[in-house]
Amino acid sequence: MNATTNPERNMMKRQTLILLLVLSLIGAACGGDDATETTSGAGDSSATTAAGGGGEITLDLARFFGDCDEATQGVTDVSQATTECEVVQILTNAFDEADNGITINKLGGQAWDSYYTQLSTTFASGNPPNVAVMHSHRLPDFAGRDLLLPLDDELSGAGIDFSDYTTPAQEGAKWDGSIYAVPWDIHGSLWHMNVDIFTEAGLVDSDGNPIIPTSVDELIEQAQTIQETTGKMYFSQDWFEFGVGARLFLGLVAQQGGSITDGDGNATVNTPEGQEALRLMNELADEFSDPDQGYTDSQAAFLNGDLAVLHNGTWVVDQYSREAPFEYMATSLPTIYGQPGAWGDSHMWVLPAASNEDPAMREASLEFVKFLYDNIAAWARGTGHMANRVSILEGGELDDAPQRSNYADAAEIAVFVPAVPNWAGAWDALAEELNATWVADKDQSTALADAEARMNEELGR
Amino acid sequence: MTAVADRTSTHGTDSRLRAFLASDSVSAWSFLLPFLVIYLLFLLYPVIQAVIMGFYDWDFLDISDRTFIGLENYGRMFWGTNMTWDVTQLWQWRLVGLLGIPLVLRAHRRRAVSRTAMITLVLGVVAVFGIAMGVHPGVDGRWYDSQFWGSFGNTVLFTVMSTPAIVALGLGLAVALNRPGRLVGFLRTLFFAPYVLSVAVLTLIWAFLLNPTTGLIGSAFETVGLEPINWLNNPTWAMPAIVVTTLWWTVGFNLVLFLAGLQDIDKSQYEAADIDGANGWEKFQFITVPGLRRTTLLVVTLQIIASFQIFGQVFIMTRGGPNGATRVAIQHIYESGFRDFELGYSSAMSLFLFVVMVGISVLQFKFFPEES
Repeated sequence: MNATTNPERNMMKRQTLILLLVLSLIGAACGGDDATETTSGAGDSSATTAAGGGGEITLDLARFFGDCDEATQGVTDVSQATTECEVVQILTNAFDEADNGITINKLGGQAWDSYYTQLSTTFASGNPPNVAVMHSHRLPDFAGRDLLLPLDDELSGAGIDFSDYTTPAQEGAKWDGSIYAVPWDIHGSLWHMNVDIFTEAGLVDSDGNPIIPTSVDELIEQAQTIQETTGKMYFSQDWFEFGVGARLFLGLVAQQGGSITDGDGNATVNTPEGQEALRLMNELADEFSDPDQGYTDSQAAFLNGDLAVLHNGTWVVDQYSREAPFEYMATSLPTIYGQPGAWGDSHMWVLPAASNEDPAMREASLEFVKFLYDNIAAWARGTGHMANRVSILEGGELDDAPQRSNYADAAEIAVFVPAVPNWAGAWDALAEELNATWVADKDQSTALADAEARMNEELGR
Repeated sequence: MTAVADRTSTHGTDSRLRAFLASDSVSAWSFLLPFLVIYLLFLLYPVIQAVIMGFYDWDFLDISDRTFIGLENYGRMFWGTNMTWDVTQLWQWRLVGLLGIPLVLRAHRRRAVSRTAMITLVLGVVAVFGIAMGVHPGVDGRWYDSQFWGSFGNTVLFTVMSTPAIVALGLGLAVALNRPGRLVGFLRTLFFAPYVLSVAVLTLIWAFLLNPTTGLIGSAFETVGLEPINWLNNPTWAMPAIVVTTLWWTVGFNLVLFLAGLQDIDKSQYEAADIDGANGWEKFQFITVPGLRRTTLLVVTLQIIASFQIFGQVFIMTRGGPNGATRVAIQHIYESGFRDFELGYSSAMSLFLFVVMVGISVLQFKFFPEES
């Protein structure tokens, strides 16, 4: 009996297994469809409703500045914001909740340094967002490939007055003569000071404000005085993590009337101006700083009161104003060579061309960007970044915001990185070679020659 | 008649269908097909696609922008301006490589490799280490891609530093923990636990530990009167710090593989050795090590492949610095593809890395000591 039933049982088992496998495959396939419908549904619905000309439009928004959804859930009052993320998210909430028929679908909220990989992937997959934030130095890579919507004929219709922007902001939003972005700010290098240490060293004026050096000699003399009288370190910055050294280098070269690129977009860092800037930076690193400090360490040293001057950006002004347990002051980068100059960049809003072909979608995207344009002052007030519209700067809207009057000229003296394609790799190469001089004692002339060669290699890609 | 014929025919079809469904090949394909579809779609197809892309100037952002350029990407990787050849170029590495020749000849004498394979391998070693590695840019010359060989060299350095350490520690821990007991079970879990962490968490923990001012290691140095080292910002120590981080992270996996291997060794061999008066080291040397030969081959192969793919720890902890000391091949490939948008060139570099990894794996299987 067993001899006859076992094969049948085995066959039945086998058939059952096969059936189960087939069913599971079908199930998986159906599940896959469901998932596809769910994920693409949100994106597709926007396109559908937009094409129909009625109903709710959903805009995909790509941005960095981080995630703060939990802290800002339901908040629409931007005055409650304390960070970059909270300002932009609360403004998004406010636009979302307004009766405008547009919903914002935020994609991620990455840190700025990983953002462009994610953004590039959306372009590569043919599914870019409707609105995206972008640094001005990244614009040539995207606009140069016709991936962004030219806005020359769109802005006035949307109620955005491009002529109200400062000259650096306008230039940062253009590529090949056309406007591709709506600038949101200018951000750049600042000189953050612990006034208590300056006071202790006797380096304050009659108003009790720190004396700002006006030459290299004055800077070195001030550094020596502070270190000798207070025992505190004079200067620090992020010496090796995020290319902050390259920012200072750019500013110091610009102050000598130099530029890190020529008119043809070639790197020109191995110049007398570059050599002097690097020499001074190494003197600071060797005598008046600790080049082992990265972004977090240098910031911690400053906020602990162990540091007189921190070179960092505009984005920390409000944080330091709140957190510093000493009298804090921020100013523009001191002009220690012939002319003012400091590294600057711009956060801007761009509209990818592929996702804004539909007129209704384009109109909705522009409406959102116009809302952000209207809130430039709120962004500047909440973050420390500089407003980039003349009407705001001259209207005194930000005069009562912390420290702003101390670096009111920063928007004017900002020197943007050159608007050339492939700049990201060139900038990384420059930062790495500069770092090598204070981290690995690389010969300064060799480092500048290598930096120039590597930058041109990157720019020539 | 017709009805009967129909029934017979239906019955015949049914039985043929049953026989077909019951056949081994249908069962086998039913089980294989789901994996095969995924394998072909997500592994084989991308590999073939990468090979094709390596011959193109392929823009990542604009997929319509691609131009066939033949071997230009490979020329850019391997060549430069004012190239010359020098016997002293990288002589230490080349000397080590040339030591492979006696190994090949020994393997041939042991009949582990055929005469043809021996000649091919000797010629290969001479071509790579004797000739190719002596080529370099001369005075005022420059590699077309100045970062390629440096990052590839750092990958090799990481592999050379990490593989023996991780394999030896995995084996040592497995031998120590190959016994019953609650404490041993707890320790096994403890050593394996880091392996389940993501690279982001791992790097967060180790960046904190290695921080010279706030980290545990820096504090320990201060306690014994030593100056804390800024491990990740020191060109000499950054790579060893990455190796230690990786060791802590992955040694648990090798531990598990070795434990499984140890449990396959017949216990009677140890009993016989005990009767013969063998000591612990002799038992390890003559029973454990030979008994783990296959496991060791697997672990070493997996470890080398994993080491060649080092990226996450480096990219998050040092970004390739300081002064390029930890810049590895995958980081260069990633930056070329995603930062500089050169997908064709990054595919060509990936393919080179793939060929190197396959080559090393094949050599390992070929030359790993046979059972004696």
